[in-house]
Amino acid sequence: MVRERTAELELAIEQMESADTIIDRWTLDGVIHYMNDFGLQTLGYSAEEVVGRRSIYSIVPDDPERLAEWFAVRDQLEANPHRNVHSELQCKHKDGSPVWIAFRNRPILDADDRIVEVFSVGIDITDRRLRESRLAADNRRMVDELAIGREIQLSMLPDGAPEFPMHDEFTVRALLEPAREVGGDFYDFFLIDDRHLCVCVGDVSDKGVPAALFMAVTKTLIVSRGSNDTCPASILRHVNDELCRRNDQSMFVTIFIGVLDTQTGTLRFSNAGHNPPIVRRADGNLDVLDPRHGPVAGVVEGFDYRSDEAVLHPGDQLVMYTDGVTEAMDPDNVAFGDDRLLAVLGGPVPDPTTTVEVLFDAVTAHAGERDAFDDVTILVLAFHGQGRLPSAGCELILDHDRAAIAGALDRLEQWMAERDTPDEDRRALLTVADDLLTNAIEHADGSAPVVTTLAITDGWLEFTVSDEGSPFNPFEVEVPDTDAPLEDRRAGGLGIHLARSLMDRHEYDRTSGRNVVRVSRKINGAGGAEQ
Amino acid sequence: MRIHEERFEGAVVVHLAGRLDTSTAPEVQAHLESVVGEGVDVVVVGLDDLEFMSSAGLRVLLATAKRLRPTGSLRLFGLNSTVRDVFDVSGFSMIFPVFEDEPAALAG
Repeated sequence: MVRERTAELELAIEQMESADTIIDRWTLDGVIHYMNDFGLQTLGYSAEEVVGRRSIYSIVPDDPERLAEWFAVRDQLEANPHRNVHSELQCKHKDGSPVWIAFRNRPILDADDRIVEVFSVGIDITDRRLRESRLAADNRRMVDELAIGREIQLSMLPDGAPEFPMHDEFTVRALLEPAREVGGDFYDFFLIDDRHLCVCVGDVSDKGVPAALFMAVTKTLIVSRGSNDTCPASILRHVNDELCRRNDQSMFVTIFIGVLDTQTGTLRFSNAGHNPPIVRRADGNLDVLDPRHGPVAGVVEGFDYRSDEAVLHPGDQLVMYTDGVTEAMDPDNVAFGDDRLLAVLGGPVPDPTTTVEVLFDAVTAHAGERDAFDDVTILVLAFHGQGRLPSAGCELILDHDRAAIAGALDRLEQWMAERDTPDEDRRALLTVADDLLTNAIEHADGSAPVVTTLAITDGWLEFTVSDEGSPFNPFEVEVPDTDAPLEDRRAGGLGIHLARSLMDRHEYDRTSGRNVVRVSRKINGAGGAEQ
Repeated sequence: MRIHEERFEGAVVVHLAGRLDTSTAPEVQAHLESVVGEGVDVVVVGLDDLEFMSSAGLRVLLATAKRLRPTGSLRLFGLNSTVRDVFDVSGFSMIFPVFEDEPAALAG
């Protein structure tokens, strides 16, 4: 019996010593009493360097955090000597490299339950830990990259409180509150020409970097097409076709595009599967722009999107948003929903900034502690109305050629028509413009272009013509005899006489080597004939 | 500039629509000269569709009227308020017979 038992024990010891596990015995003061060959190999020591010494302090890195981990193991063993304690410790190879070991520590007790030794079995988990830490680093880098992606994406959006110094007939206010991930919401607005404003809001189906890229492409397509197209349906058709052609990922995007005629308040809009915008009327009523004109964009190539028209009156606001608003969930999974949206937007209409803030606050309050799952986008376009038209001037540069005059008059006429200049003032200005431009081109020597400007300032039409000819003040030309009988009539000087007569003010200036003739007419004045 | 002509016995009515200015004056002048060259006595110029007339237009009318002298006459009708202002300040309303409408102009 005894022999057999001894043989068994020897076998066990042999297996222990040759096992691919680290086996050691140690005392709580840090002295190692035994370590098997595998353990010694793993840590790079010989038995003499380890056994009988407080060598735990050379195996555990001299780093407060690592030491604390080992003290924690010791404290746990002391606190409950009847239990095994599992620990994963970062140890140190003799050459200084880290070795991760998962230990199972078993106290060996004396008759009084005092710990005599600790018996530890450990597995080298260094490879796993290195993999894990590489993964963690990769993860961190990916999170960083996502954050950068998000930043780039947001930086593509125009400022939410833009200034349009030439246009006080409307105001745009926008907000995009990103969810944690890279989302696919976007908004944009830009002037197509000095009369038409394009506004758009969209939401890409997916999230993450692909969605951000898809969003960037969509937004770029809208802007490039919209820069010379005032028809939202045609912009949408073009964007949809382009997206379909390039869409390998089967992503799609909801898009609402509106084009406002800033002079009439007419809004043409086309909607590809997007949440219906709401018109907040000046009187407090709400109109939902519910027509949808086709499927989400990026799916059906060649789809013939159409458009509808709504009219904004002075004081009205167009409120666009994404489903991050209506589908914002409260902690009980109840969506914000259309009813709350309409309730928030009902009632007296504040300024557009307040509209954005109040709606966003309502969505935030609804979500409570919950993190937003989706981007929240709100864009408000407030129309202030005609009559507050831009006073920005029109400047034309004419070739030194009489043939250039007709086109210039067309431009001046159109500019005045767009500003509802009364017929009488418009015709008088054109009469004078023809004469002053003809004078400048005929009298100025050389071939330098003639520059003309037209502006409306405080109810005055102000017109200037300047040329680089030798100094010449046309208003010093003798007034023709307007009482002479037909036979004695001369044609000269009539043009300047008309300019002086049809306009209320006239002056000549010689500045920077240029003749500058400036005439102004009071709009809706009594007419210039008497002056 | 659109020019449209109506012929009556002893009279031709030339309707001018658009702008009578530096750019269009040569065309109008050529047209009126050819009418005068036919030996027409009364040339009536209808301005009711004329947007405006600058001094270039006044020169055309002046040249035409001078060529019609001493036997013929140039009559005008349909002046809008701006053209009327131009005629007033240039004294042209005193040297050209100006009528309300076409029948009045033809009747002289």
